[in-house]
Amino acid sequence: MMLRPFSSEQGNFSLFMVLVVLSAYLFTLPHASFWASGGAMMLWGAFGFWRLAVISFYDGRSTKIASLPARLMATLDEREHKLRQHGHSRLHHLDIQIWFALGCAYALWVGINFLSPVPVAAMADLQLSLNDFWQDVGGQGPEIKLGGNGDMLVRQVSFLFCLGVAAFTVHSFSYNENFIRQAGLVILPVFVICAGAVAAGGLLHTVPVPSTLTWRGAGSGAAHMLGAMLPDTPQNPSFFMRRLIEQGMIGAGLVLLLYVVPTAGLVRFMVRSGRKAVTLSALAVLAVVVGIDVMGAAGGLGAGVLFMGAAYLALAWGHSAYLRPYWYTQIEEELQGLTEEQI
Amino acid sequence: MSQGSPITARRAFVQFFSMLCLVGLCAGVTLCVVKSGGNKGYVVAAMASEYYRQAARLGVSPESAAYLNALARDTMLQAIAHDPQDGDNWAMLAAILEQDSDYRSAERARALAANLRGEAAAKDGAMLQQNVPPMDKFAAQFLPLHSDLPGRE
Repeated sequence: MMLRPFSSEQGNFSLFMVLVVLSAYLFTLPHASFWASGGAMMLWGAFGFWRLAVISFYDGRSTKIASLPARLMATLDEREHKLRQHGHSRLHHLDIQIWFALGCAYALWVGINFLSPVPVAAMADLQLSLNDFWQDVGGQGPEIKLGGNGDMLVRQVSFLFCLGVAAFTVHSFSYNENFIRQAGLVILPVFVICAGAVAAGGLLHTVPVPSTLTWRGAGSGAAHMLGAMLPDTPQNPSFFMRRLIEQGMIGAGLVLLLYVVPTAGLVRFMVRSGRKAVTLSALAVLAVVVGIDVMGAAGGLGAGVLFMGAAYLALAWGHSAYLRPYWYTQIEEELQGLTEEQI
Repeated sequence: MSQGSPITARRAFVQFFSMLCLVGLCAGVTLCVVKSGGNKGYVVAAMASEYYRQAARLGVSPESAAYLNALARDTMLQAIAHDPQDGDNWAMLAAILEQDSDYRSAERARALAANLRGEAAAKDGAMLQQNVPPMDKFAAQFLPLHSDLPGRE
């Protein structure tokens, strides 16, 4: 009964927006413990599962209806069902599937770089010193390895998971232009304020490039340490620079493709449908997201801004498949005949 | 709109995504329950810091102080084994070793800590002053006690 307000499409989407803002807040918290990352993963794991269950396992309803209120309810139910079917079918379009596969490939690549990092000269020298010291002081201790930082990997994977689930499930809401308007009223103002705070707080660097570029990366956590050790690396590198160091050029290229696919969809939508408001707002959000990704200090408020921006961007991109405005009124027309017949 | 996939592929994909969500949900619960106290290296380092504080307390017998200091040293070495990249832990180890009168090792640990925190580069003039990290997380509890130590210059 408590979940009843959230059972409709509007309820589902309201819950989605609340979760986006809440998760963005959780990712801005200091990383002293894992409860924020774990909490965000729990929320998005549960929401993703529930949303998919709602839109894909909805066919087993009984059609034997007796009373008039029940018939009226069934009509409404049928409309919701049709809408959900459209939401579900959007998830299986080729562009979304390609994007999802690229996201999975990037997550896999993060894991590969963590397990098999590329050696960095500065870290190798330091590792020798640390091990010498350990043998002198600690005796027969374990060999110290400076490869990756497991805690950092867990946080990065948690962020990727939440971002992936949010950006993927939001496509199932993208059929309805009202939802985009609502997201523009709820998520965009918070996004703009936070992005402004990132810019005003001096958290933006100039466009950085590491001194050495490699195809593979040095593993999660390496950027933070190199930032502390090397004078030519910023203390708190940007998301882009961190990716170049930790996941190499292949990782950076995969993320670039993750940006390219929605951009292509949005541009195509603007050209073919002529509806500029949705596209221009989404492209503006994309520009801010890319700017913060390349120049913003990784973690903290920047992560929250990226999360909200990606959610809005995915919603607008999802809508780009529906070239005709208010196409979903067609469903209402289809249902007219069905309704009269039933009642 | 582009063409959809066959029904079986759709079902397989839905199942895959559902499983992914469930795995994420379980991982989130695990993170909240098991690791909400912080990462292991940080927790062990905090324990070592506490042993060090106890050893440095006035009124502790020399035998107890030596025992507590040895405990602090071993615990801090464990913390460093878990998270060797944390320069603060190395700085704390240097202080423990110094209290243990192992000045040579303390000096090396301090040099490693400086290297990890970028302070060595700062000394060479290659780094701006404001880029040096702020006081380490143990400094607040460690420095007042450390300055009170008898025989400490």
